[in-house]
Amino acid sequence: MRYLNSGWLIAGFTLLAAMALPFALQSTYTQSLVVLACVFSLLGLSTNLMFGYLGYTAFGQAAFFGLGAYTAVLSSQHLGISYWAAAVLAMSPGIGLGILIGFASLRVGGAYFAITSLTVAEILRLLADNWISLTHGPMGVVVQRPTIPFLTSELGLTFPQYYLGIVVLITGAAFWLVSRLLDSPVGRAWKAFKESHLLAESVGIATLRYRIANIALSGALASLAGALLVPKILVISPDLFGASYSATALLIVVLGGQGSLLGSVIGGALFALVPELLRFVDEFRMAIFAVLLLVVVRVKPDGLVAFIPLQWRQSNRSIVPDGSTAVPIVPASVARNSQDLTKHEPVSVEAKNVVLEVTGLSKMFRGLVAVDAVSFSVNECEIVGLMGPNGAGKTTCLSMVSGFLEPSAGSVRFAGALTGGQAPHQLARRGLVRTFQHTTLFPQLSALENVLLATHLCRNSSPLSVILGGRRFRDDEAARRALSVHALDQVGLRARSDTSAGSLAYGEQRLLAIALALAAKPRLLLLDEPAAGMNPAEADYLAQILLGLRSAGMTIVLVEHNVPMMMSICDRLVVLHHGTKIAEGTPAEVQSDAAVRDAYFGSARTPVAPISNMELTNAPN
Amino acid sequence: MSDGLLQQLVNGLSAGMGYALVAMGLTLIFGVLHVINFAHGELYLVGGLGTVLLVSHLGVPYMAAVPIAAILAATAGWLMSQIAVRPLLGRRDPSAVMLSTYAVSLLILQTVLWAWGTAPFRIAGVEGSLEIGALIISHQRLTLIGVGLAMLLFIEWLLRRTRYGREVRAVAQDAFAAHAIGIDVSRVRTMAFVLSAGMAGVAGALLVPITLFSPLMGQNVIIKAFVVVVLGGMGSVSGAVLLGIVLGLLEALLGSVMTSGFASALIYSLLIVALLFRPQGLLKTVR
Repeated sequence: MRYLNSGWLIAGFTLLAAMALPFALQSTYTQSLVVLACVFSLLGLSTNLMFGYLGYTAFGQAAFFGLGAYTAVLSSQHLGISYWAAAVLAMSPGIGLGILIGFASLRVGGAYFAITSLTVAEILRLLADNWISLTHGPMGVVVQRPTIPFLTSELGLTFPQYYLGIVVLITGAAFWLVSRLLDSPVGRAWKAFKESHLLAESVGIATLRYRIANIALSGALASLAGALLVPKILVISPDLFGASYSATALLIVVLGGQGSLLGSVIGGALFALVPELLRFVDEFRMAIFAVLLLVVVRVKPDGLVAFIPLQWRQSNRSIVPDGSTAVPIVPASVARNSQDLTKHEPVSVEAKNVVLEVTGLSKMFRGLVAVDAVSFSVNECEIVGLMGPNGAGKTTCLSMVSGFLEPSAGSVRFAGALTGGQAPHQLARRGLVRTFQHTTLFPQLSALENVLLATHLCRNSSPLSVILGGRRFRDDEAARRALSVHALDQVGLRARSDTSAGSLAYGEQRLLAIALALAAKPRLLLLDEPAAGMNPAEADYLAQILLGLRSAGMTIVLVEHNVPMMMSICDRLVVLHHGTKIAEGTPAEVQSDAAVRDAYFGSARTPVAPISNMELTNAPN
Repeated sequence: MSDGLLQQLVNGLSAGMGYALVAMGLTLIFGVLHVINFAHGELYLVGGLGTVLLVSHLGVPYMAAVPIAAILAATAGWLMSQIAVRPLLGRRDPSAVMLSTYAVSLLILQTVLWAWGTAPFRIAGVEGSLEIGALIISHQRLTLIGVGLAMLLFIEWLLRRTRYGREVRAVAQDAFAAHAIGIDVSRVRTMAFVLSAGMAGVAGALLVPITLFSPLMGQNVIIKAFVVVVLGGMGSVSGAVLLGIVLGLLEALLGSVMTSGFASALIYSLLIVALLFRPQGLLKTVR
């Protein structure tokens, strides 16, 4: 969902608030409340980045928060630099710690991240508590007000006034930065990962790198929040690393609304103001929050922001201009390049360049041999069907070829080079893209937005161009949009661009999954049962689309149970049974093969062997 | 080996037995339910607090208080599983259970802090001690080691030799398939939760005369249990036992050369080192 995605709105609002609030708010009490609300919003934003956009629960966000505060104070005192410069510098240890935590835990899984985050916060709290020579231990470090004399002498501002102004500006800048990232390939990579990491990898997203970058950014923002809080509290103690701040960070996001920038602001303001209003229950504050958390997780997982009507939160900027859903506006610069959207020139069917060569491929799950020394090759512009009864090892084969499963033996050569050891996203970058039997789409997003998530490999926008949002980035975005429209066009879904994926017909959803794969600009497309669940008319339509793709130069490997379809569109068929190849040839040859008939219908002599269910989805790995 | 060192090792062994009991429960829940119970430390707190209240306020003999405290913790575990875990298990979002158990942990901690305050409290456990030369082993520590061993053997027997153990292992491997062959999956899960809560309660009851009671004892032990569970391999019962004892020994050794704060920080950092270099745990994961 895209809330407040207009960077200009945030920037304008921030500037206005930073200029008006210091003068509009007369009492230093309300000024310091707004400061706290900003700091909590920033802390919430940092937590929201990993929790709302990646799905990682952070129980130790105070690790970054405290680290920022301590780094800013200690470096300004020991290096003799201005506190405000130190506050900016304080982001770097946060980034470093984020990379460390991310790299340590994210390779294994989200649960490990939660544990690591909690543990790191406790380690830092213990260090702050015990490293007395540096931190004065539990007594903490007392800080002078970081005044900026120039602002008082020249502009006549009091400290609380310009402190408020600075905090509002920095908080707004952070929100603006994150909103820019969310509306770029970076944010799309996060969203794609959160929905399905397999799908994200399959369209070429190096998810680990993007996840670690997310945690590092989150660490930087939380550190900044900690450093910004110091001039208000004026003494830093190990409590800054404590469970209370970690819990607050998480609650801001959960109560405010995960995956919503506005939610972080609401949550941050709530946590600054409500404790003031509820002073009489101060000692129960955390208990009340805990109960709230328990209830919200059960009843309202989307948080308070979900009470605000969707159309207020969502910008009404449609990706495809309204009225003519079928015709996108393509800037001239992109239209010029639109021929190269299908990267590969149509090649005559006679050209017999080998695109894929599978040699002696085997997979064993513990004792069970799922695929046993299978060899076949695929030529350019060919549709090769991989068929066989349930449990024959087709999907396992596909998973090994696409890098999702490591072969026990054998090799795969794609476009002349071995694929061994390469991750799915690396293979996707080389042009080898697969689809999945059980398609995961993003049901709330429109068909076009779904495809847009898969355009990761189209153009390479540098982080700087994303943030600045200049002409170059707009061109890149337009190219990605044009590619998405083209991909939808290729599967005949262009007219449905604006329909949410969840409300597409089942057959259309399967086609949309193919469009996602096409947006990764494959040279070789591996389709895992694309016609499963389709009615005969839809399957016919799919067959036409696949033939069309082939004549446009695509090479396709098709795993499918729909035998008539396989017979009619495949150039060659490879038949697997119990993990071994039992036949290969043109549809006619295979049809008349005795071994194939035995495998499918059983024979009078050999009883039908029990069917094992070794598919990727339930294979132990 | 000096007597001082030997003394430290014996003390470490007994504390490690306590950590093993806590970590085993945590790993059991992870193995069977595939969730992490962030309120597991608070079940240990319930065991400790229950014992303190029974012994000091109600005058129950210590050895009678231990099983009652374990039952209290098991009951708390059952409630926890009914309120904060079971209703959320079907969610696609795995963070729901983490969040709700985290909320329960905050709630229990805050309630205890409100009712008790922050003051530590000492109770006497099993009186007397065994003296071998200069080595002094209190009967409390001997009881902890003995009961701990008995519990570990009991769990091992339960998981390996009984029908319930087979069901647990079936659910751990594939809950859907277990359900399909007629295993009452939710009963198996609830029982695993109650069992692990009981173990945490026993650990709390047996350690509280040694470590002093503090409302933060649950918060401290949970991180140690995480270190143990990650190092031992998530879901591995034998790994949890072995690494729990190793952690206790290590803590005792480090405690003799540096302040306990630094020693804890160092031990906690093992978690990150382990994840960096051997994310699957030091031992082979048995699921």
